[in-house]
Amino acid sequence: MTELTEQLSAELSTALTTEAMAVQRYTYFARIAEIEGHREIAQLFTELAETTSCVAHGHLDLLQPIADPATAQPIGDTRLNLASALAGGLRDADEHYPRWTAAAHAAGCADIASWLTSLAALKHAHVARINNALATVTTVAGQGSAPE
Amino acid sequence: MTTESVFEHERAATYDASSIVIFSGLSAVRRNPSMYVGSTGAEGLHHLLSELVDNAVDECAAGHCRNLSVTLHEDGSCTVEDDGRGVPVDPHPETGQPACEVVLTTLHSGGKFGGATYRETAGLHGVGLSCVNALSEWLWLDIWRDGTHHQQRFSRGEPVQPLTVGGPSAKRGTRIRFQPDPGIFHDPVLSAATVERRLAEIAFLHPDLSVGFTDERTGETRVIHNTGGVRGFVEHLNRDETTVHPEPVTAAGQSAECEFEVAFQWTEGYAEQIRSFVNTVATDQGGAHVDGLRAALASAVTGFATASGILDTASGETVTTMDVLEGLRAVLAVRMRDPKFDGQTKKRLQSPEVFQFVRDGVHRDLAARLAADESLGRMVAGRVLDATRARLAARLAGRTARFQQRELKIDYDVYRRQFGIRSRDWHDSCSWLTDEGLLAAHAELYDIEPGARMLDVCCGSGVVGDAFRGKVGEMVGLDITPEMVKLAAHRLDRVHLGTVYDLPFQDGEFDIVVNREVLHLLPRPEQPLAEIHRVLRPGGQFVVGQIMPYSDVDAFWMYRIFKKKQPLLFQMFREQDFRQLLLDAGFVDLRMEEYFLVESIDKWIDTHETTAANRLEIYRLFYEAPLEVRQVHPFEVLPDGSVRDQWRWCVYSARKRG
Repeated sequence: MTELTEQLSAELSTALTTEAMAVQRYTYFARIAEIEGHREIAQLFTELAETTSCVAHGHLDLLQPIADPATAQPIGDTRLNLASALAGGLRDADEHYPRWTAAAHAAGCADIASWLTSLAALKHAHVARINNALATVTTVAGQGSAPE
Repeated sequence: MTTESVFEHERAATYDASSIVIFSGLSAVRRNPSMYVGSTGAEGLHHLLSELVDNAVDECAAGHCRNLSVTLHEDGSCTVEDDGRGVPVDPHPETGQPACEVVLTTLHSGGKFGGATYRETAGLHGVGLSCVNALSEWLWLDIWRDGTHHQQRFSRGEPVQPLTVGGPSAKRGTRIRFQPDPGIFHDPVLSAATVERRLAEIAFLHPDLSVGFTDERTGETRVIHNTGGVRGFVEHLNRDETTVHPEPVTAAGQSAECEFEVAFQWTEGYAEQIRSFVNTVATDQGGAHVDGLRAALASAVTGFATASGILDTASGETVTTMDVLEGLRAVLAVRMRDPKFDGQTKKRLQSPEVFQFVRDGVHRDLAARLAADESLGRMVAGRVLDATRARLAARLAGRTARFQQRELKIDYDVYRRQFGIRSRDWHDSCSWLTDEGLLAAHAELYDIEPGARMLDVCCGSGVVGDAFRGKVGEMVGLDITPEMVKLAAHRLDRVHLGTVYDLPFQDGEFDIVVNREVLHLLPRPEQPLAEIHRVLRPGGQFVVGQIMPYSDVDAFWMYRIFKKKQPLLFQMFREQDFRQLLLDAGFVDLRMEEYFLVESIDKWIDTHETTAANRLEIYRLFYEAPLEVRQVHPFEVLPDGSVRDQWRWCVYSARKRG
């Protein structure tokens, strides 16, 4: 594959974020359309989301040989992917959510702070699960290279 | 349905062994019961009974059965009997076994695949009887057919004896008695209320059918024979409701492929309740037919309101579909050939062509009705506008309840308004408020000297304080809402109007303070806790109960549900958060008791502070809860789509340092 310039990979990373967000926006809109009884519109959003999800994966296909755009960690096989997921989860749990929680408190939004706190807890739980999974993958013979 | 219906059956020419088609084996059902009956909880259990009942209903719809009876026996087994044609008993052409044995022991066998025997069917297309048999500890089959009584017994899906031929009998029909397998169902007790509800529905949808129900466990017995059709069904649903207009409105439509009947009436309640059926099977998650109905109601009512000038579009009042549907009660029955459903348990109708058919039919009938009866139109449009205005007010409440970090500004009016309205039916608004076990869990933590002076803070109706009666001396209450103060005055000795952010009491005035499920609604809960700590004497006790998530994994999910239910939610405490909050406030000697309480979500969210859209979104959050959440947080979705959530109450005792 042609080598991506730094500039282009940054653009692709932005494109991935945009598409990933679109998937979530469309599935959310589909839910509302369904609740309101707009069947065809719900179907439209669902189909858009499905395609858009495929598009987002396409961006990841291109970015994957370079690094995980979210963590700058190498990705590819499951062991690497778990390691990158772990890095991302740790950053969310220990850095992002606590910072956002503090920001919510500073803005006087206690309810939003509570929401963000519950998510920091969730991220910690996810980190633990990913960590366990990583331990099993690295101990299975022939699964990728030895941990560095 | 009318007797001239296009679906009046050509009486099926032959219904014998040759019309039973066999597909495959049965052991898979016991290996993976949830795949076939939905779950191994109450839902799946009642599904077994529905299978048998639906078969009888199919016989009725095909014109062969007038009587159906269901008996719940003391040993936990259940009998379903009909006077239909009786399951065929002649040898099946492929296997040589009696056809009834094939039907009961072979998955995907039955009379509903060949085409000629039934035109529209309710049962699960042959998964039915054999699934019930596979999931029963034992099953007794009695068939009266062609002047002879036949019998066979089964155990966990296997015949324990061949079909026996008894004496001659003039009787006709099928009787099945089965014992749900306790090795499959964790709580194999059929609920009389659930069964009776389903039978009442069937009776409304089949005015020709007489339905008997006997519960030997309680001695109750009755015959249900409802001739009122869908209209009678709506009147039945609304028997205890305040209705907006006196008579239910009806609409109907008929085509070569499909026909529908619907009755609807608006009530002063909040929840939308549409009971929908396709070939008499309840489609609890709606689908094309329900969407068509909702679309038609929304367009016809807003069309009327705009045309007659009731809706003031100039002032920016925009009515949403959800506003139109608030408080609506409707029963919609569709009969059609080859309906397409999402999944095996038929909860949601796919068949997209039905959407337009129902929508156009209902719109036509309702628009004509509104044009002819302006007073009806005004009553309905007025109800819808009330919903619109309430929704806008609720959105405003979400915004005004913000506060600033440095100076805490709380709009007490928001709380007063909300709990003032709810005071009207406070104790009916959910189960936990008056649950005796939960109240006792609070009172049992009492461990200071008898005769203590008690403060029930944010006391609501005063039930929590009242639970300490006999243990404490003077019982004082405090609440922000005048209506609640009046309510609590019936239970407590003295009730003050005031705020927990600034208690109107001296330091150390009380020996014990009690409080339940309030602090999550208050921004900066450390301030109320400091006030509670202040008014306690040294060594005094604080008893407080809160609903908590089960783990870190369901907290965010509960947050979404509770926030949608109650816009005033400020924090979804986790157990460790709440414990720390108490410790930080200076409390010591913490003890916590858990209490698990099953709450009906349907009732809990049927309040004015939960908008119509939020109510539906809450159901979706349960229906589509992530697996991680399901693994830690028990809840149950019943066959009719209602939800019972098991709440984890944490009740704390803490002391002010002596």
